[in-house]
Amino acid sequence: MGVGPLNLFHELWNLMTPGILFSVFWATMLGIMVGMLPGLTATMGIALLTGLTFQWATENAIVILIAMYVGAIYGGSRSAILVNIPGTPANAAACLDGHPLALSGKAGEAIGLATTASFLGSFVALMFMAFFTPYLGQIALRFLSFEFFWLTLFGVLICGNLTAPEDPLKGWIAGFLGLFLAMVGMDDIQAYPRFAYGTVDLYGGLSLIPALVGVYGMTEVIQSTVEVVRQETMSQVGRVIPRLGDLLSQWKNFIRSGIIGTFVGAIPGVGENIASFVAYDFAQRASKTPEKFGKGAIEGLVAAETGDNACVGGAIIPVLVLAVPGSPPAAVLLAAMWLHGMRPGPLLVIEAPNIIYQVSAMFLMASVAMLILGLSMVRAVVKILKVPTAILMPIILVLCAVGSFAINGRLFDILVMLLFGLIGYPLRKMKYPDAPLILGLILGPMLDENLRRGLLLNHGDITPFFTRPISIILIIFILLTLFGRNPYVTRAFQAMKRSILGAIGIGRSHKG
Amino acid sequence: MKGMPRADFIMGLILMAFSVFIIRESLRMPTFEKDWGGLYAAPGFVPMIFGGIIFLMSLFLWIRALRNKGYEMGITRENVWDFLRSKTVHRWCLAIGYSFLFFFLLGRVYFYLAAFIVLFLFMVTFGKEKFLHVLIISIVTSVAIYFVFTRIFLVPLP
Repeated sequence: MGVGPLNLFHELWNLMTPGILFSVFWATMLGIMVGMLPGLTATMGIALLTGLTFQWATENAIVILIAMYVGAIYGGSRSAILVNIPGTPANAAACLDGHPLALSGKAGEAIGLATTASFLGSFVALMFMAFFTPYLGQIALRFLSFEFFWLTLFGVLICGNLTAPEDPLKGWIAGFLGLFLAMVGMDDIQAYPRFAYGTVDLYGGLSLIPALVGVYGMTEVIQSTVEVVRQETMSQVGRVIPRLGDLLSQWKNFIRSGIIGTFVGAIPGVGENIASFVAYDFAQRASKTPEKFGKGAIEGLVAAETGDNACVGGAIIPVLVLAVPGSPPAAVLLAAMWLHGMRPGPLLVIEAPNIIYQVSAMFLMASVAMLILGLSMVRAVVKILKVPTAILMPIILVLCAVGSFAINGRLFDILVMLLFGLIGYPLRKMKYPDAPLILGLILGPMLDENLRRGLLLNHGDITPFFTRPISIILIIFILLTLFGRNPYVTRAFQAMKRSILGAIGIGRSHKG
Repeated sequence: MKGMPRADFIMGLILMAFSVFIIRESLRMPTFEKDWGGLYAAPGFVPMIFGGIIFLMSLFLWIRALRNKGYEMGITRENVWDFLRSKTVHRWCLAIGYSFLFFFLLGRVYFYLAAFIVLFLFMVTFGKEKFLHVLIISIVTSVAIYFVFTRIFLVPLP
């Protein structure tokens, strides 16, 4: 544990070059603007920048993407507070108390609190990221093909479950569609071109970045064009720097929401929107005045914003040690790392352990830039919210095309992007979530390769898939994900709970 | 009632047909059984499993929609007419049309010209700005995007 802070400091020192610092600040600023604008999400921003910074040095490109991620997740709170429209889905919970605070004349204070909460959330996540990730990496080293197969399957299923809470079936369908789409192109074992039908462009498979830009960018362009949203009036911004008393009174909230955000972030594919709502829910339960939530409670805003920015760090942890993204933006980050020749995954702790500290240092730099930029230039930056959608969206369309084309220089990738946008909108309208589709697309090759490799190594014997300890734990998680809401299972669990409580003497009979 | 019965009914059918297609195509792939030992090594093995799972899930979706009377489409001439006349459908068709027009223009005309055309069409159709404003914004934006990406980001454009 002792060398962790030193390694982090060392990497931070190495990154302190004028070029990197400049990149961090402009990318964070751009991220704040992207996050602020309703319709532009962190995932879209990172996907676009991945294509555009493809030619840049790895270090510079990755720091830009992390800064965009941190900035965009935070930036969405601005529009949530000022116009009651979450800039990104991650900031929906911030609307609940942020906008009422703005309506009561405390817009500046709300922005200041949201900024500080986001920074402190990031800081909590940084602690986990920098000092626990290497240990998680040691555990990940025990993963073989069998465990990786179950892990990828669990990732897609839990993501489907949590991103479509009303109807998990649609989340699972979206996940398996993504897994199938990942099968297009040459397979990793025999290099046989699957579902390519002689089209050379399809031999390499569907490129991740154009697919991501299509699902998140193009779909948003179409949705914003089709569904005209009324422009809300904007609240006036006053004092932004938060009062020390307000911050100190929330210390438990910061720590609790930060830890919740980090853990939710580490669950494959789940993301910031869920983290902020879970943190909000816990804060309301812990509050002495829960009735004030939704009416301008500082606790609510702080919990939501701490939770979503802590989730950013949490989502990067499984990217580094398992090559499994914790959220949709982290999925793009993972794809970008692959594009730049980095090899995140279990071997990272052996091959390049400094990467963990390097990424943590980048995350810290982006968080500090977010704090500085977030507490300054507020009045100037919020003017961007006045840009009409009809002007912004076609510009985004052109940028989506440029971002998709930039990586391979193929017009075919622009077509892929458009097709994903074409199917993305109706799927969204029919309540099929985007995240499992994309997670499936990313994890598909890993699942395919590990299942077949596991079977090949054991001459078709499936026993090791069901007998290794980590596999058993993952299978139990999968079964709980699939059948956890089944009334029979729920009843069985309740009966079990009653019998256990009865056996240890804490039954209902004692209350009477 | 869970889901959207009518949409789920149609989507269930589409997904079932699609999954049957996946299974059929997976079975048509070579198995390489002689060289690799078993059917599990075949390139179509995993896609076939995915096809099977998608089929089962879409069947469940379809049966659920059937129970919720998703088959009652209520298609009348009036409904179809209303649908065709709805602004949402018009806007969707135009947005998709302009996007694909952009794709077809790329590589055939200069990038900044293609970008200008699509920006101008989008803003004129869906915006409320004055014609002259739209013209200026489209020209400035397309030229700016061209220069920023080719000169600063060093991105080759189509």
